[in-house]
Amino acid sequence: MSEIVANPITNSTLALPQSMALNPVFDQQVILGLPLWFFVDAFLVLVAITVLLYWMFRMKRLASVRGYVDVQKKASPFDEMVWSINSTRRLSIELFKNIDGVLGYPDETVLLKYVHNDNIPPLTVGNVGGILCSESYYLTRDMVSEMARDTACEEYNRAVETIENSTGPITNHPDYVKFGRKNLEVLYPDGIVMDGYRQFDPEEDSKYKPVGMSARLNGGILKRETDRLLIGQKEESLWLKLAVPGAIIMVIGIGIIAAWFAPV
Amino acid sequence: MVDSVLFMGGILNVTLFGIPLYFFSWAFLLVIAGLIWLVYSLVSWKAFEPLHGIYYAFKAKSKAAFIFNVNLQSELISEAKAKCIFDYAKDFAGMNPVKYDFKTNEFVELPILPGPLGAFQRRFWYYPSAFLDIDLLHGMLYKLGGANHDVEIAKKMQNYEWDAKHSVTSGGVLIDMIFDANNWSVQTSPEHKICVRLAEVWNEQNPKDQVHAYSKLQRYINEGKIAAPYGFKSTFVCKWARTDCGCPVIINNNAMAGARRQMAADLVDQNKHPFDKWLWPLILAGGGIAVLILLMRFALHFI
Repeated sequence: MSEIVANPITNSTLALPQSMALNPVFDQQVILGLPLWFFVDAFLVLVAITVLLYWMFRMKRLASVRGYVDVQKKASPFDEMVWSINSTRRLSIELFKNIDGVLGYPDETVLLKYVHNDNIPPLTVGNVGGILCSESYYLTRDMVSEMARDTACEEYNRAVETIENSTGPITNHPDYVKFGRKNLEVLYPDGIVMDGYRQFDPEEDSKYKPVGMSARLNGGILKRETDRLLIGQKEESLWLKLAVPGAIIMVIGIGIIAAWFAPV
Repeated sequence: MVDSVLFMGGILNVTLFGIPLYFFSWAFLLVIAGLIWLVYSLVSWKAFEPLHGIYYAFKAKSKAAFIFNVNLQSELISEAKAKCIFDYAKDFAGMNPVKYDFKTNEFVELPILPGPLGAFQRRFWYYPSAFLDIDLLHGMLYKLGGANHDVEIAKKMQNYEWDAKHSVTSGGVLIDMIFDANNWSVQTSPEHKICVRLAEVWNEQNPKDQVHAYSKLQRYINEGKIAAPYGFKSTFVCKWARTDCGCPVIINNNAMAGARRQMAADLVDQNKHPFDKWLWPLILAGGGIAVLILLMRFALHFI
């Protein structure tokens, strides 16, 4: 008896092999001869693409803070998480190289270089330590002490007329250096009392910040000084470079030849 | 109606365990979508956990806040969490639709629609619509999207008296940097609970001049309008040692000296003649060969 390879032909016009099946609902060809299951498939493909696009869009919002994850991935002692505020007040989290206390982009051609004072507490976000820098100032920043200084200067300026033998208001960094720091310590001997809840104002802060000390300038000076040191190093001549290794090769060669012809 | 020709030659009509393959293709696509969701949410998204505030601020069309304490332990959170004393969503959860009457400063219950419409109305009532003019469609969209409008509510309740300082931007979102020394904005802290109570009492007594933001509460405490209870901290003392580190008077660049020398040394190393690197390996290899030849010749003598 021969093997049955197809279902018996019934009312349907379609002869179907035994390994195939038709569903009464999903195999209905409703539009353009396409079965219903195809539209369900198309819908599910659309769902998958939508999910992908949704997450891509969501993650794109966090692209500027990508350094936070990069630092955790690398985690070498030379990798540093830096919250960097650039000249257009854009905040980004970057992965910087910390070499000999000087922080800079891994790309050596970028001039921005910062110096970190290790007395400033690290800025920790989710147990990842880092530092805050802004392009206009080459030292790393401690916003708490900056706000304290701003508060003290503002309070001092408000009360300056009532202070005997006053040296005048503190209007900028040279004033703060010249007499402000000393006078403020007289006013606040135990430390500066400031609001426990306070919004940082970069505008207000810039009043008392030293000018002309940008991180880019600092990097430029560093580069120039490095180049100067390099120029200062005497360049050896090619003959001198080849003399020592040449002599060593000659001695070794003579040794090999002597060993070859040595009578044993 | 099934045509005389199967789509794609019926390749997906082939059965496996008695089920056509296209059923498996559905399951496969659903698994792919689920995997995309899982990988992004558990790997990519979770890695940025303390920085999610940027996305939520973008979604709520508000600012984000970079909030830090005395030890510079910081977090990037939504502006609402960082600035608003009250959590309006929590206060109005499960309540009947109400509207705030700004003339009388009281809440008025809205009429409930009859039958299933009322249930629908209660289900989709969006709490900011108690304070803000949000139409039904936007209300539903915001509710389903989880958009938070607490900042707008707080602004309106304070008659738009709002501390606006210069901010930085990141990811297309404005970010305010806020110092919170005494954990006022930490929802579970006792200080936060005291802030809520102080603001509630003040608002009851002064409905025309309400306090809904920490900055206004801080100002009123400083001005003596609101009396803080004993032990409640509203200030921070920054010691001079710290101020002098953060704002140095004498800026020396000792650290730079070493860095310059090191950079120069690194560059010299980079430019070093490649032969120098092979010097010792060459000497050792050459000496080794000479010794080997001697030994071989010595061995040959006995063969």
